[in-house]
Amino acid sequence: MSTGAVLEKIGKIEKELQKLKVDFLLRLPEQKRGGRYSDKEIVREVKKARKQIWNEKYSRRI
Amino acid sequence: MKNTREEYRVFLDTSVLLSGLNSPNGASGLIISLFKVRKIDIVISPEVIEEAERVIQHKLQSLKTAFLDFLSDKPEITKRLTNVELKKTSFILFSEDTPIFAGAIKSRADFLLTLDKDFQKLTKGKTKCEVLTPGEFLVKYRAK
Repeated sequence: MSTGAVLEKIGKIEKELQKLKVDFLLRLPEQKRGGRYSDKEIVREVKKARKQIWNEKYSRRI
Repeated sequence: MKNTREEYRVFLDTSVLLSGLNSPNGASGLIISLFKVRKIDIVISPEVIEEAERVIQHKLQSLKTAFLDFLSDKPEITKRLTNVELKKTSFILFSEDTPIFAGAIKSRADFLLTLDKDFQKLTKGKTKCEVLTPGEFLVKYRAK
């Protein structure tokens, strides 16, 4: 079997696994969170960046 | 909202995008997974990308690889906003959220997803697309 064919097969298996994972997660009543940063921290940092970009670029354009 | 297409068209606010990259098993992560298996269409704007890049560069560096991986899955990216589009949106909402909101309107998405409750409050009912949190969207998706 050629390298290309092997990679293609792995790609297909990967996609099927992803589908399986999504179907499984959708059936769970509550999703397990985890992750390095909290959503609160993410929202705070996004707000900060949004304000900076607004002041640098958009406030003068409108 | 009645949807005649098979897939929902979903615009991601930067907060949802970064939360999904940060936590693949959370609600935002599941939404990104739904896109990866082509069960929904995700749309973002150049303004969302710019914000995400800035936040990753300054604070959330460990999300860099996941962000590049997400972009390699080719989400739909709207064109940059024109001054006219920005001005038009600013009549509905005038704040630092205007460029992101304008991008969502331009995308013609069915849903705008955000984790920012203030942004959700400010934009709810002001556009054809429904403004929801990722959790609220998943409730809707499961019931589909």
